[in-house]
Amino acid sequence: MQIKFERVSADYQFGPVRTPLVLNNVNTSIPAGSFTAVIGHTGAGKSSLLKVINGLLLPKEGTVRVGDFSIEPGKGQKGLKEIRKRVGMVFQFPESQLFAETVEKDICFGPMNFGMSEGEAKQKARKALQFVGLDEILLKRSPFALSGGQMRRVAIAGVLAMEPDILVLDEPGAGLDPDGKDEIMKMICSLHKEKGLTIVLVTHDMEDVARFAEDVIVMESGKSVFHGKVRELFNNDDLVKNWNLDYPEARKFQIKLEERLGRKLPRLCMTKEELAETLIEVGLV
Amino acid sequence: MNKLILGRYFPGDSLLHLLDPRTKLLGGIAFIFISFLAKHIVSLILLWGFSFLVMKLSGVKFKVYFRGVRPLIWLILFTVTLQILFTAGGRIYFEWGPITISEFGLVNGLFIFSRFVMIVLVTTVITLTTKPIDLTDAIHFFLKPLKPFKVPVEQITIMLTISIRFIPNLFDETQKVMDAQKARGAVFGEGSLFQQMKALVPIFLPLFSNSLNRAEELADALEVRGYQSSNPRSSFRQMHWKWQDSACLFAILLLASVLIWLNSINFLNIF
Repeated sequence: MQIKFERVSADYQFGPVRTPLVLNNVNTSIPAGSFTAVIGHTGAGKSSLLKVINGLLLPKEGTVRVGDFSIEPGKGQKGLKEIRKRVGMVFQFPESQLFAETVEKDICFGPMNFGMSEGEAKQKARKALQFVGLDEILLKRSPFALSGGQMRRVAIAGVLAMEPDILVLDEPGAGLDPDGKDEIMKMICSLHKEKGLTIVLVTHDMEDVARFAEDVIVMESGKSVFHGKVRELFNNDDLVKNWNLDYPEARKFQIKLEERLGRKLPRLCMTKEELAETLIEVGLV
Repeated sequence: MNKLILGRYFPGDSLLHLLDPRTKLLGGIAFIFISFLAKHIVSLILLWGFSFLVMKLSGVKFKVYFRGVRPLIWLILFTVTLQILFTAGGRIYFEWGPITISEFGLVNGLFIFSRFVMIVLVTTVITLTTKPIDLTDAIHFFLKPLKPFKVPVEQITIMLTISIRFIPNLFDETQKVMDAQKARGAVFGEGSLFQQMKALVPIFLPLFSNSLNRAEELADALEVRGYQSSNPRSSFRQMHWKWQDSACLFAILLLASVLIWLNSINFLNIF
């Protein structure tokens, strides 16, 4: 499913106080089946961009189109359920949304809200739990008795059990140990590759962007200032400097090395594997 | 939730913002008592004048204050209606069984309505112009004399401070959990009362669990940094008594005296 932002602006309201625009005239579209990373500094509007996709934040101006559905100002809550059914959303620290007595009930919450029968939901719960790499034994346990990493996986399973077409994630690896984070990222990647889900991932980690994403959106003060291929971004030093972004480690190494050598390597290296291959190729190793 | 003005702080640098929190706390409590002194229409006008004066001095728009009264208006009207219907005395305009609308009832109703609204307005002035944390400092100051009587003043104050400190976090977290459950298809504020109550479980359980966890972490953090409430402590925020504070308390005292004086003379003799 395609996600299309048409001149979308949004802000938050607290009682009498309105914030400045958190999204300012965002005009871009995320193609179906793509893996898009959203990067930018704190407060640039990354999370707001995610929320506006399934109507948790309604646009003040402009239209958001998700497949054949649209979210427009003044349209209210109508049709949001259909969109939310198709857009799975994993928030930052999703383990803080667990509430049910058992893991099974918690995972079933989403699917049953969207009209699945209990039996069907339970089946989906089992499948989702397996997919996130947890044992079925946990189904009957209380989610509060699990470890932090397990809770995170259960929360993600709760979203996957809804079988969404689009998966939107806000820093799914934050606060996990490197291995745990890596596993979750690989899981997301396989959802994209094997099941063809459209993935939108907010992250601060340029390694994730370099390793997994195809496209990248750079947000700055509520505007989408860049939307293109990941390689295109990291190949353009001016752009990266301009928005004060970080390079992936391999690219950093490459830049330092090129400075020392006084010549360029034949291609842009974003991951360490790529870097190693290139170094062998030019005979430096 | 967003509409409740009472208990919210509006930053500013008006005269009232400058006043010592002790003055404002004391003044606010005094005003509540003073409002019960008003027995005469002139007193009532004086009190209204005072209320509008402090509202003006706070530098916050009147509109904001009346929005603060709005959530309470039904409670106020209910009380006033009871007063009007069940007070007898003076000229009687309408009578039906135990229900009478009389002169005294109407006057009483006016006084109760005014008292209610004025107290809400003046306390709103205080909370709008005083940081909650400053108010707890003031409460601490006034509780101090109770220390010899084994009242755990420091514990009470730190509890107050911590709870106030975490109100915004709790709001944020409620919002986050609500968003997360909405994204999983939960619907709030629809269906029968029972369904609506049931829909709140997925919000409150995570909130409780997170709060309990946080309380435990906070207690640990306090302990490893050697916090002990029984130790003598100095404060980062110092309260300074200024001449404006004395002036303000004097004004309130004057208001009280005038009201007492008005009660003592009989106006009917003048007319």
